[in-house]
Amino acid sequence: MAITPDRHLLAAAGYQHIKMYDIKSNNANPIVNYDGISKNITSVGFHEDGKWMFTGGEDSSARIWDLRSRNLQCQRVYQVKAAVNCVILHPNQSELIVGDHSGAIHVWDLRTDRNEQLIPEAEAAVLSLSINQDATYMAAINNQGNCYIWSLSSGTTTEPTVLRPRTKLMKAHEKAGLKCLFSPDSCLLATTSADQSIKIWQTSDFTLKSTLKEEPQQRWVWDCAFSEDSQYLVAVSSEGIARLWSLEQEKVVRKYQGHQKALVSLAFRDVQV
Amino acid sequence: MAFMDNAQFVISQIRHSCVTSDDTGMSEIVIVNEETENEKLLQRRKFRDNADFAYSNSFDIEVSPMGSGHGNSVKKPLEGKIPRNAEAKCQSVPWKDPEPISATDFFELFPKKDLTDGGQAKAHDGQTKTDGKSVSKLTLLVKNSHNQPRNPFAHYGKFDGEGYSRTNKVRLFKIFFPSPKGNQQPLMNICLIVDGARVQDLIGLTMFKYTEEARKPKLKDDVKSYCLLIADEMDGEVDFDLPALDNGEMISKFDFKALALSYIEPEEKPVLPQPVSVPDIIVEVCEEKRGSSKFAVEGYDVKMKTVLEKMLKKRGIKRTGHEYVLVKKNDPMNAINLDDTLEKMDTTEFQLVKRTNIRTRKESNEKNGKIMPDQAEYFTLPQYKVFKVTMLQGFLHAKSEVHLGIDSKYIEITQNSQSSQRPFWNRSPRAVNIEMEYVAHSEVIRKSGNRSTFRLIYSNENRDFKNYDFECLQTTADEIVRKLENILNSSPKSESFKEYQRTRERRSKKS
Repeated sequence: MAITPDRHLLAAAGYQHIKMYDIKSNNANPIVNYDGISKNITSVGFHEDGKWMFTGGEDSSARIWDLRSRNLQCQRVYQVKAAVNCVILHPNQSELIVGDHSGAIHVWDLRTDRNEQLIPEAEAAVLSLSINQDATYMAAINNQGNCYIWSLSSGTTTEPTVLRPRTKLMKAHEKAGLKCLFSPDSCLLATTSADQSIKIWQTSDFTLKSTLKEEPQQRWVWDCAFSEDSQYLVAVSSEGIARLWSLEQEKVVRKYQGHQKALVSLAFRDVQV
Repeated sequence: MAFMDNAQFVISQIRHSCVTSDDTGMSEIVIVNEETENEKLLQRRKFRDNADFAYSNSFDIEVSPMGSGHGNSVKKPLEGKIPRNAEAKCQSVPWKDPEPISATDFFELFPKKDLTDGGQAKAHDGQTKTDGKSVSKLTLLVKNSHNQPRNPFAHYGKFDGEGYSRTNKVRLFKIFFPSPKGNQQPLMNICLIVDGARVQDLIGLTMFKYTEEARKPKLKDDVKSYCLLIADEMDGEVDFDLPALDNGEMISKFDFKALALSYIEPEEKPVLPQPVSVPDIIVEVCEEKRGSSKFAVEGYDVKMKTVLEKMLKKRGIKRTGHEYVLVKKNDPMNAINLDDTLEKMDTTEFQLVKRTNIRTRKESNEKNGKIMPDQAEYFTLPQYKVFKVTMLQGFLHAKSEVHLGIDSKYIEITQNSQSSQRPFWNRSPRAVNIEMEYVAHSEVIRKSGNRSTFRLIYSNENRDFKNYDFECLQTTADEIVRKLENILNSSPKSESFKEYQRTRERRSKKS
């Protein structure tokens, strides 16, 4: 799921469709339905000005959908060899980073259509990717619970970004990692996992700051989002509860209950005041 | 992404979603082992948390009509209600493969954003993210709502079906809140997701909404303190004759649209709109010279029979229980009708006395000048009365003093304990109980001076007629015979009575 930059629409990607819902209305029906894809769509996001939307799916491709006009100027597709699990957009808005099920990470330069591929760990599906807002670090977490960190050098206007391995957090989690996310202030990295915990890492030296786990109910933690000031973290898990963690107090300050089934995705856009 | 921390879900997903699309049969092979394992696990889980919340079995995936291509034909009835223009508003954008774009266009279409410091500052309108002073809207909201009361029923919020009517099976309930003082609360419309919901979840959801609306009076925090009763759909009148819905039952079993939320009194008895708590009713029964016993009874509607039984059980005198009667402590003269309820007694203090004792007391009362008129005698028919008579036994008419107790059900003959001096040849008469059913006749057979001999004829199991002869004061004999006649006449004619009459008629004809 993702919320458009103008905060009006929520995009929910699913089987063969991406549906857009009007957040501010009470209309429970989607207002736009993007279809024509053969399999599950696993990832969705937006260009920062809302010009286009990118998706990745189990049809082993990442796509760019032109949202602005009917002439589909910048409709693009990029094929990889395995199901795409996650797609993120580099803050420079011209590179897509695609993580796939075979363990490969592809950096797709939209301007040159060139791509670079790296495989941090073979046969370990990359489940989540994150780049911090300054584009200095990129993190990837795989189904072995290992988290890899790269330093990014944001090349010149013509050169593609160069990734240099920075560190790897071996067995960051006992079980599969499900999500990694840098905080807006870039000081923290959160990883969530099937081991039912959330871990918060300090990006200064990539050491563990805290482990957030609520006994006994919390199950797989699928997704998380930081507040804009990086003070709070919302995390959703399989037992259908979203929790708001205070990172300072390391405890749950709010619980959002009301879903019948597992929560596997979260879209959140905070604002600085 | 075919992974999930719910094996049941994954298996169900594979089974249902691959059944048409998978030609190789691989999906079957993949789950065949897992499925048996999962079955075992489910069994164990069921065993372990029987009463706890269990997931519903069906995770069946429903493809939304819009996506299936042949959309409008496979509409469920619920979805049919959605106005068509709502769907018409939805714009459908199919994927179109990109047209070839020249390399130069790429540069224009996907400009690279400058992420150097200046550029970033511009992008964020001069805001710096790390100055630590600015806070986010979320932080503000959390701070401002710090003291907001929590809804203890939040857990049940997930059964709220509002907005789920497209995807889940939901049902509407009218919930009434019966209240004692007539200030009827407005009813509440509850939309419940039926799938997997139990009665308790409906109660919880109702309480959740009640608390959300901040209605008064406040509810107790425990879902188990309430029950749902069946109510009239129009005016919410509660049908108290029907039992409350069982909390553990699936809601899908019931077909009621209107229910009333009622508070359950602590002793688990659904007590009706009076919120006055009914304490345990303690009945005190004392037995002469043996102290008293206290025990609780279920309510004021129990019959005195139950009270007597409880007392007898407590005292371990069940066997000879019929010798006892209950009297009110403040009115020890009159035995209580055992078919009356406790409520009628206006007291909870009773005495357990032997029937014989009542008689003696009465007698002493009568001696004090209280003489029962005939009329009264008739009304006291079913009441137990004991007469002191001499029993004539056997061929020699050996005499022994006995008590002859009579009530509407039994005649009992017990030995008079006071007559201790007994000739050695005289067998002490056994205590005998004769059910009134078997009593056929009684008559005075001989009069000598102020004493009379009367005969009691009864039949045994073999339908043989036997008799007992007694001797006593004439008046007493008359009274006994009259009493027995009255009892026999007032009750439906028993077989032995009829048969005796027939044999008598035959005999009289012969003679």
